[in-house]
Amino acid sequence: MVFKSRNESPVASDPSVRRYHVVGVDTRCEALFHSMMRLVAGKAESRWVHDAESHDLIVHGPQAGQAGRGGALRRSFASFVSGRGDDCAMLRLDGMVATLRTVEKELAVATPEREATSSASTAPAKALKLTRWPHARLLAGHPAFPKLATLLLARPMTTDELVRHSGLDEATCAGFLDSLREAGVVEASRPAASVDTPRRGGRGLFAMIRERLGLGEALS
Amino acid sequence: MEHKIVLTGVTGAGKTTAIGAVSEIDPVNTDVRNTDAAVAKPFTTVGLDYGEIRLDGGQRLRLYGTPGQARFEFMWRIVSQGALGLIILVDNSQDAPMEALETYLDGFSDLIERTACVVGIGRQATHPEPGLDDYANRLAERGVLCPVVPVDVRERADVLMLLDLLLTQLEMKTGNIDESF
Repeated sequence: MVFKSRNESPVASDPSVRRYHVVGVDTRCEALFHSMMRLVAGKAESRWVHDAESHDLIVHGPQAGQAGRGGALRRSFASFVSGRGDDCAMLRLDGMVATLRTVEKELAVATPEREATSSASTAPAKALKLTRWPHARLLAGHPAFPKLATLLLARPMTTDELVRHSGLDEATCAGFLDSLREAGVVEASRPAASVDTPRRGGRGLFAMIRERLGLGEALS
Repeated sequence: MEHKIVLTGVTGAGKTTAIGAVSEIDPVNTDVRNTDAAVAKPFTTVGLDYGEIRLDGGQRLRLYGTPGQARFEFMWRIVSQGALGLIILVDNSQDAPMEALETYLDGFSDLIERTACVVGIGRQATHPEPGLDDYANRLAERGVLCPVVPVDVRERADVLMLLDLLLTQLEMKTGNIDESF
């Protein structure tokens, strides 16, 4: 099986990222599928991001031909649906995770050398910075997303930095970054050097304001 | 030591209400009876709204609400001096809210460039157009990077959210980070 080189992408250096594409499925079902894939974050082995250009997995509906990159694994939309046929209303998180884990095993077997190289990678994590305020639909996915977006608006951050500054779990932060990548509203950037570690419990001006206003507690 | 945050927006956008939602003193305002038939409110601000939050060591955070009308632009410049940041309130129920936003982006461009800004869109529930994405698109076209969020200034939590997003930007830009949210 031949896979396209993915070194050109901000996520290319991240060995845990897998890409998928959906073809031959109506718009409503495709949108629902993408939403469900975001919820999969942290439950499957890999982080799954949508990429129409380069992908490890093609999820195809009944209307699909042979579209998609030649080397990608193909799975029917129905294989993700807990029930009969292609009714996307029957998409369930557990069923999707189970199917994805099977796919991940197949991909790992198909590309052992790539997996080994990736896991030994010492490339530094790339920081991402917002290039514009994200779409409202994307931000509606979690109460803390506007705050995460604001953090990324102010300075470039890696997933680890976003976790550290937000106090949210890695899966939520990584899933959010994936969504921003899909939406094309972030760009890779050098991590900012001026801000390192949050000064918890400090008595700076902003800490005083936060304390007085009762801000500063987790939104999640 | 004194610090200040500026709230601006069209007449009726809720600057007075927003300040009152978080101020520790009774907000001081200079409302007078409205004689502008185009504005459906009995009183309007012709000077400044003012509220404050007391901080340690005798410091104060002052909240200034500017008069909404563009003819008071000279006051916008005065009140912007030394401000920590800007909150723009947009009333989606009024005519041409996008143009109103542009007016404030122009009028406070120095402050926005120097500090940070948050845009709060009010009355979206009853007046969904323009949508949040429309505002975000316009900001992107103008090269302005700032949060755009729906807000009900009658809700203290919503006003706090605006302040939170503003503080977050300031903390990240200055490195004065005290704790995660």
